[in-house]
Amino acid sequence: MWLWALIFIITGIFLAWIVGKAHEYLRTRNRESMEDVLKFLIISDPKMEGVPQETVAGFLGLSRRAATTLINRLYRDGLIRFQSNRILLTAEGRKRAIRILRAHRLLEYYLVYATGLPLRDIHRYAEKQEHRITPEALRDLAARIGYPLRDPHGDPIPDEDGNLPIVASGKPLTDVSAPSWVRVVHIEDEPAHIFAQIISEGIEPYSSFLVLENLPKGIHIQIDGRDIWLAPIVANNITVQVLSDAPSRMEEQKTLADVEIGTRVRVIRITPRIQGLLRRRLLDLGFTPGAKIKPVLRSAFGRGDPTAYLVRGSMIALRKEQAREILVKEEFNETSSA
Amino acid sequence: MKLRLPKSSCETCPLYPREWILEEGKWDYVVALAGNPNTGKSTLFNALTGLRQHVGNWPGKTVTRAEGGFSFGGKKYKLVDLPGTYSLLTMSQEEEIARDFLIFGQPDAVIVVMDATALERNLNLTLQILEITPRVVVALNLMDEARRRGIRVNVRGLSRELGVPVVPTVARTGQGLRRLLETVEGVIEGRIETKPRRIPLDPDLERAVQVLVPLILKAFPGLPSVRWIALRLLDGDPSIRKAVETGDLAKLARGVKS
Amino acid sequence: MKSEIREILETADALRRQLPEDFRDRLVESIYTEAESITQKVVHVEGDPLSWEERIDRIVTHPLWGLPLMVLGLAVIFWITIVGANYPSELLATILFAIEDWGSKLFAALHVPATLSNFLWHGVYRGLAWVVSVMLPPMAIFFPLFTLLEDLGYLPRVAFNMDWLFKKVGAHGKQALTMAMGFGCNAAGVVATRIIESPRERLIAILTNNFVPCNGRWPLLIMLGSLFFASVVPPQYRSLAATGAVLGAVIVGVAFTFLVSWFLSRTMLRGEPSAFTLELPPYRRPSVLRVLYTSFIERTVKILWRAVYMAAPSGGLIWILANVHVGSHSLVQILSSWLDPLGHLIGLDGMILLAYIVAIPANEIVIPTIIMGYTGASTMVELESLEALRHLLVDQQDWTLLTAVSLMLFSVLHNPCSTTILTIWKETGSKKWAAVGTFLPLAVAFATTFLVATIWRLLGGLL
Repeated sequence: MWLWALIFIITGIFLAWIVGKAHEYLRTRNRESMEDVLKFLIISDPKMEGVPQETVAGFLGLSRRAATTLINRLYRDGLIRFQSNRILLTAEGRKRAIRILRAHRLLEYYLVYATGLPLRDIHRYAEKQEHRITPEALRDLAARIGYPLRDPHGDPIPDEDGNLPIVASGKPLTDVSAPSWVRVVHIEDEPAHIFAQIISEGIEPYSSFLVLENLPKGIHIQIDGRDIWLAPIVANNITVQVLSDAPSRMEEQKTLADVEIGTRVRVIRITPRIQGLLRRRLLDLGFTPGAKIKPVLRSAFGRGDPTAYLVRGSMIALRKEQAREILVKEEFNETSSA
Repeated sequence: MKLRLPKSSCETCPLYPREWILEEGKWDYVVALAGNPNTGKSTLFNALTGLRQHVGNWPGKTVTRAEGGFSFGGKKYKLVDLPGTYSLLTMSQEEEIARDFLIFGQPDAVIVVMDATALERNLNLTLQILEITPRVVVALNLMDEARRRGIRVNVRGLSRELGVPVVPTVARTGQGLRRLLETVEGVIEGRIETKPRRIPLDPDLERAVQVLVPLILKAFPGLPSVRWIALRLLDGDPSIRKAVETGDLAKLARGVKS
Repeated sequence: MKSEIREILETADALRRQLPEDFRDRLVESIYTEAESITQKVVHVEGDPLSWEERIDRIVTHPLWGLPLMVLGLAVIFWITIVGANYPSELLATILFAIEDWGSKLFAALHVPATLSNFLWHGVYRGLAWVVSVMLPPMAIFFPLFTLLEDLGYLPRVAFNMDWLFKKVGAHGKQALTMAMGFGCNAAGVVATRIIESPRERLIAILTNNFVPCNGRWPLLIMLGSLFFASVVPPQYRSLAATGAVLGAVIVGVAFTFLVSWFLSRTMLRGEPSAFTLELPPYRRPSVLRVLYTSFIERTVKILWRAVYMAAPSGGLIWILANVHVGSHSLVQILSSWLDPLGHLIGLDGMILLAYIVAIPANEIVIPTIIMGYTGASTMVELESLEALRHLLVDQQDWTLLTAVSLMLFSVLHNPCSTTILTIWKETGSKKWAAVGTFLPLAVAFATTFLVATIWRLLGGLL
């Protein structure tokens, strides 16, 4: 008799625990979906014209009924309002949405530039973590990576108060007159295959390059010492900002990885593909623009990977991946002096 | 009033009360030892304190602070060995520890150990430390090695350029340590005046610093190293930000010695 | 928040947004410009400052000479350690065990109850003496030698040469050195990972250090090598076969280091920050006396001390297990029979597993504990001759070649000792990584030995 009672109680507690856990899980799922809707609204509707309900349901990939429940909830919480069957964010909703957007973009930046995760993988990670990170942790993260203004796709990152930074607006690469020196501010990530093609050519947000020719059949650019032809349809997805300080000649420029042992070179700059901790460390070790560098030693077995460089009186070894991101030019005028 | 707080928590606290660091009168002065990795900094630390703390021919051996002490001229000095770093600008753990101690620990003097054979790179850190505190003595170490390699450093010239005393040393043999300590004593007691060289900033950055400095001074009158604090706030340093938010910075301002 | 303070923070945030995006780069650049101009004024260089070092470096990193030089260097260190440790180790054992006899006699004369005296002297003290005599001499030789190479500046060149291999598995070249350190002691190896500045690569080095067998595990490997592998070849090749077996175990350990590093860098540690740079400091003349003294104090004595206060209680525990009886069986027998099925599954037996459980504080006591369990002795014992050992293990306990292979694998791959676990916790500051560092190797050890035993038995059935 007592035994049965005990078993009954234990089973009851266990069941209650399970139900509690499941409820908690559903609630967070729900919160995450709600936040996803808010984020979708702010991205897809920058001019605040409203989005049709069906579009939202389609984006969520939910059944009509589930989508309606979600939308009703958002309405009840005062995060969205309706205007002739179109959905708009309320002021409160906009604030929440920007917070999530900020988390997402900061996380993407962190993942690419601090952890070296490839660009194509970050979205999934950021999508999960954006809902979980606390405001304090987010602020810490932002400080740690130096308050970036744009995410790895080139999209602006809102600040803590929800203001979007004033980022120089650009124009499509197809509209740039040649020759000019430009910097990428945004790369459209839809359609995916064109995005992938752009990335594989080594063109990433923040990178800068020289536009040599702009012809109807394609655009001839020179990036990090390489010549590339881009089809107009590809170039159209790249937004750039024209830089004024155009170098007159690009031919002299090469990467540190291509420099022969014993050849003295001068640093032009570190490409924007190195960010975060590594960029700072390279700068601190003396790889600043204008620094004189000499490759002195190749590793015994790695066929020159890593290679050691004499920089500002000390020997620092870098791997090929890093040396490739340091642009240099050869020193012609100083040949023999130390 | 006596402060009784767990010593271990000092690694993370934003402000180190002077009473802790002096361990309630156990020491008269606190001297911090800073420098690039692999400059013989820890050899110097060992030579001064007699405490045997091994540091090999490697960058980055001391991750947490090592502490020791010595007596000189009738005063007791506490010596804090900061982690060897190339800079104080990044968010790595070592640099945070070093940076926070230099600002919040308010050492009476800082010995910056420089490698005479790689002066240029060592100057990166030295110039940054000069922005934080004027009470700096440079120990130009590895002088024997420099001589052997045919590198000659004009010690007086360097001292003139930096605006702080420079003492050539060979920590391994103990050469120059006495003069180093005399100089440290002189700087602490105000017999030796220093006029640290300032880093000329980029015009944009200089303008931003100029806007921020009066605001900080208005909230925290008499704050030392305010230029550096403005720079760090612009960079978004979390520990400085926290110190501003909590008002802990005010204690720094009050604690400043004339 | 006071309005003045809010104004400061808000202004700082607003100003930051107005600054050029590369203002941090420019700051470092202007510092270095300043540094350059100062240097030009005060430094005069006569001749090429790095000429002779460049010459040495060219030999050390030569595609042809680099590898033999490195292997030779490490081989010499190991050889000196193994050969040099033998004699002091025996001497130390003789002295320490003499003290045990003397102490227990003294206690008997003082009429201390026999149980208490036995527990203290034959349990706690013996465990301690065992660990000290096995551990101290090799460490006292290995660490100073290693430190000497380190001070000389040679080790960074080794990291430089080996980096290509570690890069392939997502690790750092300096891991080669922390691994080498691990041969001396895994806890020291874990501490040595501080030289790796990049957080992700450092974690990899910490979590995999355990796969290189530390000197506490060498005696077991050497014993198995000479007992099993040497006996199946002609007498003239015996020492070669034994050495080969031990070397094989080490190679398996290194292979697993790479495998697990590769796995970690692609799964668990994917999101951790990474930054590779490696400074090659100039060669320096080490001050030999200081090296000897400091490496002895810093590394040897510290680690020994930690091991001692871990080994002493486990010596006591072993004594209790062997001397407390339930019914007609001692606790050792009861527990080992419980563990038997699990042990059998991975090619071992319950006694070996039990020995590994009580030897978590110090792997040195695995062999004496196993022998104690098998012989039914009441304290840890060692057998005088290899023949006696073979008689006990092979003839009486049916150890086979499979037992030897599984035990070698288990010894190399299993969880780190408690000192190392504690060190991982301290170095990472996270219980999570300490747990991963403990259970990941344990899982790897069980999985590997299970696979080997199963395949072995299947093949045995087929043949």
